[in-house]
Amino acid sequence: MHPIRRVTLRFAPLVVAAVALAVAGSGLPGAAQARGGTFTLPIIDNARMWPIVGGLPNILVNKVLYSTLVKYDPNNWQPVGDLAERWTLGDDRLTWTFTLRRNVTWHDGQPFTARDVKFTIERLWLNPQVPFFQRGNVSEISRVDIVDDYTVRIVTKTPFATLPVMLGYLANILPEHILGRYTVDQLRNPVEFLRNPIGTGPFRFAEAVLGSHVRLVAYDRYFGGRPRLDAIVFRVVADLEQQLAQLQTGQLDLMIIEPHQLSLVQRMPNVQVIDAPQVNYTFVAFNHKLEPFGDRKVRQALTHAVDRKAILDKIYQGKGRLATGPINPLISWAYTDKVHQFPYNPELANRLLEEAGWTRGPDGIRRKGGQPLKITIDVDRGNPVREQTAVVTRQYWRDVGVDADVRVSEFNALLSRIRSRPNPLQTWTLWYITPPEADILAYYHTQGTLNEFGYANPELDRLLEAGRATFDLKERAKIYHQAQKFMAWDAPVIYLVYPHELQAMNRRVQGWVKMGYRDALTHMTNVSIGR
Amino acid sequence: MSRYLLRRALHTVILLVVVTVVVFAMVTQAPGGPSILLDRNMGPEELARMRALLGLDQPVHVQYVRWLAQVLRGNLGVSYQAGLPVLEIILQMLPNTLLLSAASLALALVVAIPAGVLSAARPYSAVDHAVTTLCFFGISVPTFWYGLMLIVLFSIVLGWLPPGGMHTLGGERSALDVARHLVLPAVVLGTANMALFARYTRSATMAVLRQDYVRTARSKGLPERSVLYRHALRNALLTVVTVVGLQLPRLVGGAAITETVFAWPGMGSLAVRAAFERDYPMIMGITLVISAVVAASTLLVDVLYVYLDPRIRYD
Repeated sequence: MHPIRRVTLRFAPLVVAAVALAVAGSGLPGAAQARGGTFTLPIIDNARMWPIVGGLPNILVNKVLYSTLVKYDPNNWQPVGDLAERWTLGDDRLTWTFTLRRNVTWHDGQPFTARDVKFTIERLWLNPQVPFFQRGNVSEISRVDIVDDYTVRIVTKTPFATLPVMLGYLANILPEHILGRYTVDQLRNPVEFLRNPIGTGPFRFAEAVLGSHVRLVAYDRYFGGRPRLDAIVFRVVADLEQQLAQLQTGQLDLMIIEPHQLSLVQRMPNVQVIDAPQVNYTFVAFNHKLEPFGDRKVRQALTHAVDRKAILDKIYQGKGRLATGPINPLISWAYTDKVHQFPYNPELANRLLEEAGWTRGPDGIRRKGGQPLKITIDVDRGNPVREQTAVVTRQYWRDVGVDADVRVSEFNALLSRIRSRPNPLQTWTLWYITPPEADILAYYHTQGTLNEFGYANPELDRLLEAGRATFDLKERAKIYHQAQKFMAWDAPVIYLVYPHELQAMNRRVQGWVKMGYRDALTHMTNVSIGR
Repeated sequence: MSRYLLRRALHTVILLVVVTVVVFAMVTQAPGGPSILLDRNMGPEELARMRALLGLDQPVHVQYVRWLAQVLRGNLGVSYQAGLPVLEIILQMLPNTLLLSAASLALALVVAIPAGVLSAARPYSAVDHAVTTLCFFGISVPTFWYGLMLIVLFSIVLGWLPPGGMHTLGGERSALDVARHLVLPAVVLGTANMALFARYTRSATMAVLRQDYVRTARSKGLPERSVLYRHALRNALLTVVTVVGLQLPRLVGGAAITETVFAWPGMGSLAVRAAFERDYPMIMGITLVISAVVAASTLLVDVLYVYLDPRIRYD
């Protein structure tokens, strides 16, 4: 049986059981219509409600406080309107016309108009004086023209097929009528605005108690209809054990858990686990600027040497799918698994390494030109999945004659090393959460701004450029299928798993959309708390 | 006395400069960097712009001088993470920490002094052994594990107390509610002090009990209870007061682990998060405030000695 099917089938009873329990737990049939209540989830630090800067606590709060021009359909991850009602592309393939919703008001009652869109994009996103952490996603925009109060034209520098998707990715629209009079200095850090942030989202700001919580309450005039919940509270809880205790005692309705916590959480009677697929993949990266990773045979050998299926089953507890490339299966129009597979095959790995000129010495370590094959795997401390992945990868590589070792460092320190140029690391294990798009140019193009691997391949560059400039979905799909085939053979990194996000959720919560919680938070109007 | 105070004030200023220089050098040279600069969606261009904006592209000494100049104007800067002025954040968190520390201190004293006296009154008895064992436990138990055990027992198994935070969210804000949230962290934080104070009370009381005037009191036929509490304890307390005084700076510094384990919104958990996020202005602000308070409180203790003990004189 196909491995993916097998995984799905294995979890089918679990899903059925979860649904049955949820139905049983909801009590009366009318409970589905419940209204009111407060949904509480943890953030690990104080949130800054300024969507120009990154950081997970900020991102989560901003998801419900502000809106974006588009958001993602939970069924197929395609962009659907949020503040924008619809959009069309001009014949020049550069001019996008967005029609905006008319019934939208800011939380202070002012109407939302095209001026807000122009202001946000030109004065905040594209302004070099205001560093927007997602600028890379929208830097293809050259300008925004206001046609009328409810129509804007967004003009891109080059044909940029992914624009609508990018406009839904952490690209919150901010109010011109408040921020328009701010100086550049104030726009960098608008302390006054942050004391009472104004958005267009389903929840408006109520209070922020530093170190304790941020409380947002339902916005009665939300354009999508008043949310069923009365409030959302983001509690500042840095410690994961404390999060678990609060989940169990009902102070928290949701927390994201690691696979090793599954059995513990499954014993909590008031909690169910939702494993939500998300646009994400985990990998063991190779630094292509360093020997021996420039050699495809070595990369293929190191990939075949690792039993990724065992990693999925044991370390991820089966919660995910075996990865075949950098495009997540949720992007179903672009995804294909009809590519070169890398089943666990140490004999083949040994053969490939021999062919690449790395022969075993008397101590069992492979050498080429007298140099031993010595690889250090870098990993951050504190995430059990990544730590265990690094440790088993070391063992798999040692089995085929690599003098492999693991170096553990703190997350910040690891990231800053990966991002420094030249990147001093050989291999490391991390993940990418990406926009729900097949456009992976930023990560794998020779000139890609986020190409931490130092990967450079003119053939793939051409494909990625073509994919970005092609608008017909069928054509694009063909291009990205080709790119995936190419990458699966070239093995720029070891693709491990498309991991599911494990959401431990209080059973009284109803109407939660099954997406990664960052995106599920953009669909909060139907969520309610049963009694 | 005034010359002494002036000299001490000058020393304090020098001390603060030295402390902040050392901490500044340490935090800015630590590997990694402010976590708001580490978003993996941020390209190198944005990164460079952001670093320049925060002044992180300057040499360390320039950054320090800038920070100092700002501080001298009464501005501790803006937290990278929260986007709000550091001083404002500290002033919001400080009372929470003071509340927790005061509660734990009170709890420690209420338990430790009677326990210490009892121990001293009957040295090497069963009571003394029990207290000694408990003290040993209190001093050596890891805060983190102990806190979690209390949460499991009192919040999860028994359901008597909330596992963390400072308020029940959504409900009325009441003193009783805060008190309920205060119990577990205060017990955890108080336990180590309790043990410490009990040991000191025991040894101080025993030392006093060996004094001649106690023997005199006893030979006068005073009841043992009166000897113990009226004569011995009063003198023994002087030692205890000194020990408590030495613990005072911790009232401000907070207890990082306890606050983190119990999600208590205080200076300790603030400092821990700031360190993880490399929120330089926040780290520096906390450092400055805590070291200023420590310096001030030691000065206060030294001055108080003059009044408590006429044999001490500063000139």
